[in-house]
Amino acid sequence: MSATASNLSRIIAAVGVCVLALTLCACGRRETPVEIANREGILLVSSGGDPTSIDPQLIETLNDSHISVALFEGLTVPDPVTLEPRPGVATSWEYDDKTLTWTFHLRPEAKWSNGDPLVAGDFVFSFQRMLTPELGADYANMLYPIKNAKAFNDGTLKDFSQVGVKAIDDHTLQIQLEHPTGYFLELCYHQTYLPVHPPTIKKFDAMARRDSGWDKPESFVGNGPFVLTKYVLGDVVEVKKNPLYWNAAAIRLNGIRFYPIADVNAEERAFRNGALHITSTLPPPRIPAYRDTHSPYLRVMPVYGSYFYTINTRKEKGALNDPRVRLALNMAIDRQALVDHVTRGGQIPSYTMTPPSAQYQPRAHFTEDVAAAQKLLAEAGYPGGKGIPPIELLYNTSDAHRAVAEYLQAAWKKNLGVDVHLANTAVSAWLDRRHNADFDIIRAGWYGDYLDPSTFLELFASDNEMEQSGWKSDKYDAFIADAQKESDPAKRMEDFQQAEAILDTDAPIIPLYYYTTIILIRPEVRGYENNLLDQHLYTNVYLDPTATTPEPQQ
Amino acid sequence: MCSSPRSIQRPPLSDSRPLHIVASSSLWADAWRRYCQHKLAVASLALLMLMTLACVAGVIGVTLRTHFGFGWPYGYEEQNVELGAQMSSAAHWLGTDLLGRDLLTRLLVGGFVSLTVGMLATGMVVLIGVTYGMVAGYMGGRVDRFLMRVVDILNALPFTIFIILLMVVLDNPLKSLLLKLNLANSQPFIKLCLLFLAIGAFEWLNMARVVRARTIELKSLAFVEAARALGRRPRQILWHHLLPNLAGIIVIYATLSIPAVILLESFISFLGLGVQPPLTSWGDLINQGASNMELYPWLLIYPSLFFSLTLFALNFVGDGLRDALDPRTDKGP
Amino acid sequence: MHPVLRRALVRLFEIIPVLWVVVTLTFLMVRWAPGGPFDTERALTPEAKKHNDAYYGLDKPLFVQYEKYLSNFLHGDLGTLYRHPDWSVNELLAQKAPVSAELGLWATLVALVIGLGTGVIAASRPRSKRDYGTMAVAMIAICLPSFVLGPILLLVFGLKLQMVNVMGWNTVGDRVLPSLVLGLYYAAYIARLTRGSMLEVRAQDFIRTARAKGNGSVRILLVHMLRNALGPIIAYLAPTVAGLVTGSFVVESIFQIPGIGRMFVEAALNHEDQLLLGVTVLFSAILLFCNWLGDVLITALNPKAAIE
Repeated sequence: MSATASNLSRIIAAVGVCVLALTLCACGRRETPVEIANREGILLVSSGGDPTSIDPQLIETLNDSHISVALFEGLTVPDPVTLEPRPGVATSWEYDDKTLTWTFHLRPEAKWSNGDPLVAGDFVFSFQRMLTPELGADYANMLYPIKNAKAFNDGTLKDFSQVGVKAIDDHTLQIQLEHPTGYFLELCYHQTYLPVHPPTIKKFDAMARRDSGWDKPESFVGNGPFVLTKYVLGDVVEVKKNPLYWNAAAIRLNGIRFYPIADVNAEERAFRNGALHITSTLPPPRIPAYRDTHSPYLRVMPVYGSYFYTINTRKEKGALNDPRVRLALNMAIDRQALVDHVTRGGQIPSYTMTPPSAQYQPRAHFTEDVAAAQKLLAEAGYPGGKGIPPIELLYNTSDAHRAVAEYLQAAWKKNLGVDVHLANTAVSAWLDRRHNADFDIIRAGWYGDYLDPSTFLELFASDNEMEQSGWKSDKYDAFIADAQKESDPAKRMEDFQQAEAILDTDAPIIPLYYYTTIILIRPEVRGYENNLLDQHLYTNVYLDPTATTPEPQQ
Repeated sequence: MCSSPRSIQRPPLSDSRPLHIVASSSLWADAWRRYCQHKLAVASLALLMLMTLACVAGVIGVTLRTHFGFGWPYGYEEQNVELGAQMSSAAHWLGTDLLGRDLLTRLLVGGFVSLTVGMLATGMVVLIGVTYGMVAGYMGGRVDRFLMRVVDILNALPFTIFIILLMVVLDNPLKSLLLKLNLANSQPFIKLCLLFLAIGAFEWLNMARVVRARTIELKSLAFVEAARALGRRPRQILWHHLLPNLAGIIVIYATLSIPAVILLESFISFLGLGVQPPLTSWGDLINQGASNMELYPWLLIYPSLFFSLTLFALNFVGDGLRDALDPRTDKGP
Repeated sequence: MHPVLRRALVRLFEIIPVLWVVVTLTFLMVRWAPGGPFDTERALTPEAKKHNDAYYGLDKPLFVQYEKYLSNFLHGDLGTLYRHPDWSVNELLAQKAPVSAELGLWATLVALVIGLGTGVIAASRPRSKRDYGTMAVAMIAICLPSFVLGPILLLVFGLKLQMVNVMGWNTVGDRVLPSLVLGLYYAAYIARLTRGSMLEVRAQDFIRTARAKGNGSVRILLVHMLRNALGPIIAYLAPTVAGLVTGSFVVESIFQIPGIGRMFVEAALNHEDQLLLGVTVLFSAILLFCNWLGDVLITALNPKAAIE
C-alpha cells in the first residue's frame, strides 16, 4: 500500500510543479504593456476608481473630470501650468465693466465628433440640461453665478429663457451673471460647463434622465480631442484621437486608457510591472522609499485642497460647543510632525481652511502651543481634560485616514488628557452620519473647484448644506455675502481674510494640512503638467520612448 | 441506483461494537494517557499554552502600565512617530510599526484579542452548528428540509449589509446606554461582543452542513440502528452514539474555523464593527503588514509567524484530541 | 418514478420559495441600511435629492417599492445603478459574471485536485512523516490568507521576475496566479476535511471487510474510503463553489480582475442597492442549486439513509 501511495503522491506533486512551471514560463519575459503602448502612442493612466459617469453633467469627482476633459472641451481651457483661461471652443470674449455680461465668440471650425458643427445653442442646451431640476445633477450649483440659474434649478422658475444664457447667433454666446464673478472664465473650463450634443441627448431622451446610457461608445458624441472607444466598469475606459477635433493636427497621442484601480497598493504594483504610465496616487508608507532614492518616477506637487476635521458644535455635544475647547484641540497638535512622519507626502501643515494661491495668502490665527491649549481647556472648565466624556472621531475606512486619526488621538490624550475613541465606517455610513450630524468629530477634506477662496469658505456659510458642524456666525455670513458682491479683487480678498479669521478662531474645524498630489510617472511621458487644480489636458501630452530622465518641472 | 459497498458488505448487527456506552472516569484517564503518547500533540499543547500565557501577560503588563506606570516597557498605543518603523533591536525586540509602536506589545495584545475572538466565536459556531446539523441530519424528512432551507437563506444574505445593519441597530443605542451608565470607556469591549454575535451568526452554517452530512451517513450504520432497536430515545442516540463519532469532523472543522474567524475579524473591523484602533488584533496586524511587506517585511513576518505557530499547534492539539477521544481509531500500519 | 429521483425534483422546486425569501429579506436589509444612494460627499440640494429619489421611486412607501422591484424582477429587469447611472444591473452581470465564474471554476479545480490529492495521500498513512508533511503544507496555505499570498506571488512573479501582468484578465498567464491564490486556501480546507473523513471511514467495519477480501490498497483507498468519506466534503464544497464562482472581493481587487466580487462589496458599501440585490439573487440561485446538487450527490452515495 505504501509503495503505491507514495508513487501516487510523487506523481501528483510532479504534475503540479510541471503545470505551474509551464504556465509561468509560457509567459516568459514579456513585452510590458507600457512598451507596447509607447509603440502605439497610447497613454496608460490609473484613474483611481470607476468614473461615476462619462456624461459631463452627471460626473461628481475630480477623477471623473480627468476623463471628461479628454472627451469634451469647454468655452475656455486652462493653461496646464498656471491655470489661466485660454481659448477653447471660444476664440475670444469680452465683458462689460461690472463683469456681469460676457460675450463669447465661438470658433466656426469647431465640430462634434459625428461631424455636426458646434454652435452657441449647444451650450445653451447643455446649461439648461445641467440646471433641469429633474436631472438632479450633483454639481448644478456650479452654474449658480449665471443669472436666475438657481431659481431654475430649484424649480421656482420654469421658463429657461429667463436664465442668463443666450445664443446671439451660431457663433456668439452671451451669458448674464447674477453678481460680479472675477473667476468666471475659470469656471468656464470646469467640467460642469462642458457642452453635450443636443441631438444625441434628445434621441436618448436624456434631458432629465440619468440612466439613458447615451454615453456608451456606440452612441457617444463629444467635442474634445479624443472620442470614447471602450467603457467597461471595473476594467477600462479607452479613448482614441478625434480626427474631427478642430486642433487634431496638434494632438500627439493616439489614445489614452484609463484604468479604474481603486486599490492603492495594486496601483503601485501595476506601475512597477510596466502596466501604467501614470498612477493616481501613492500610498504614504511607500513615499519615503521613492523620495530617499531620488526616484525619477516620483512627482509631488501642491494642490488646491484641504484636509481637515469638522467638529460638531451643537449644544448637546457639551464640551465641543465651547470654542475654547475646540481651539485647544486645534492648538495641541504638532502638524509638522503629522506631515513629516505620518502622511509623509510633502503636505503643508495648515492652520486655515483655505490653501494659498496666487491671489490669496491665508494668515494663521492661532499657534500650536500645548501649554496655552491646556490653559484654554482649564478656562473652559476642563482642567487636564477632566469632565469631557470620550469624544468619538469618525472617519471612513482607509489606512491613510486611520494613521492620521491614531496620531491625533494619541496627541490629544498626551497633551490635553482628552479621551478620543476612533470609529471607522464604510463610506456610505460615514456620509450618512455626516449629513445627519451624528458625530462628534468627523474627517473631512475638500478640493477647490476653481482657484478662488470662495470654493472653500462658502462651505461654512449658514445656508450651505454640506458642512454639518452646526456652526453659524452672522458676521461670517456677512463677509461672505459681501465678497460675493464685491468687484474689487483686493477688497474681496480682504473680506475672505476677515471671514477666515472668524472661522479659524471659532474653530468649528481642525485644519490639518493642504493636500499634495503624489504620483508616479514614467519619464517617457512628456508635457504632462501638474497644477493646483489637478487638471490635466491631454492635448499637450506625448510619449517619447527614448526618454529616460524625467522632464524638468516648472 | 447502485448500492454502496457498505450496504453489501455490512457485517451482521451483532458484530458492530457500540461505542461510549458509559462515560466512566477511566475513559478520561485513558484519553489523557493516549493523548500523552502523541508527542507532537503534547508539544503543541505546551506551545499553545505558552502563547496564551504570553498574551495574557502582555495584556496584564500593559494594563498595569496604563494605570500605575510600571509592569511593561511599552503601551500598545504609545507612539514614537519620529522613530517610525524600525527593525528588531535591543529596545524593541520585534521592531516597531509605522507610528513607532512596539510590535511585540501589539502582537501580544492583538493575540489576546484574536485568540479570545477566535475561541469564543468558534465555541458559538460549534454549539450552534453541531446541534443544528445533528438535529437536521438525524430527524431527516421535513424537519431537515426546513432547517436546511433556513441555512441556505442565511447563507445567501449579504454578510456585509448584515454587519452594517447590526452596527446601526446595536452600536448607537449601546453607546448612549454606556454613556448613561458612565461606562463609556468600555465601549471597545462592547464592540467586541457584537463581533462575536456577527461572526457566530454566519460562520456556523458550514459547520451545520458538514455535521448534518456526516450524521446522515452515520445514522444508517449498524450501531445506531442497534441503539434504536434497543429503544433508546433520540436524545440519547444523538448524545451517546452520534456525537462521539462526529468528534473527529467537529474538531477538524473547529480548528479550521479559528483561523477563518481571526481573519474575518479584520474584515469586520474594516466595516467599523469590532476592534477599533489603536487596539489591534492579529488579523489587523497581518493586514497592515501585507500592504507594507516590501519596505517593512517584519511587520508581516512576525504577525504571520505568531498566527501560524498558534494555528499549527492548535491543529495538532485538535488531531491529538480527536485520536485520544476516539477509542476506535486504529493506529495505522 | 424512483423515490430518490422524485425527492430530488421536489427539492429543486423548493429553490423558488427560498429564493423569494432571500430577495425579500435582502430588499428589507438594504432599505434599512443607513444612508441612501444619494448621500454624496458634495451634499445635493434638497430639491435635487428629491428628484433623484422620485426618479428611482425611492420616495414611495417601502411596500410599493418592493412590489415594483418584484414585478420588474419577474420581467427580468434588475434595475439600474444609482451612482453609475450609465449602467443597468443586467448589463453589468452579463459583463462580469462570466469573468468571476471562470476564475471560480479554475479555483475550484485547484482546490479539488490539490485538496483531495493531498488529503488522500495524508490519510494513506496516518501519523507518518508523509501525513505530517502534507498536513503542515496545508496549514501553511490556511495561515497565508489571499491578501498575503496574492501580493507575495505578484511581488515575485510580477515585479522581481517580470513574468506576468499584475493586473487584468486578458491572457492565459493572467489566469494562473489568481486561480492559485483563490484555490489554495480551499484546497487546504478540503485536504484537512478529506484526511479526517477518510480516517473515520478507515476504522469502519466494511473497510476491514474489504481488506480481508483481499482488495488492493489503492482500490480500498480511492473507491471505498474516499467514496464513503465524500459526504462532509461535498457538504462543505457545495456552498464554497457557489461562493467561488460568484467572485472574490480580495482576489479581484489584488489582481484587478473585472468580476462581480469587487463590485458586490463596493455596492454594499456605497448603497448601490439594485446591484447588490442583483448579485445576491445570482449568488443565491447558484448557491441553492449547488446545495441541491450536493444533497443529490450525498443521497446517491448513501441512498439508504436518505430514504429513511
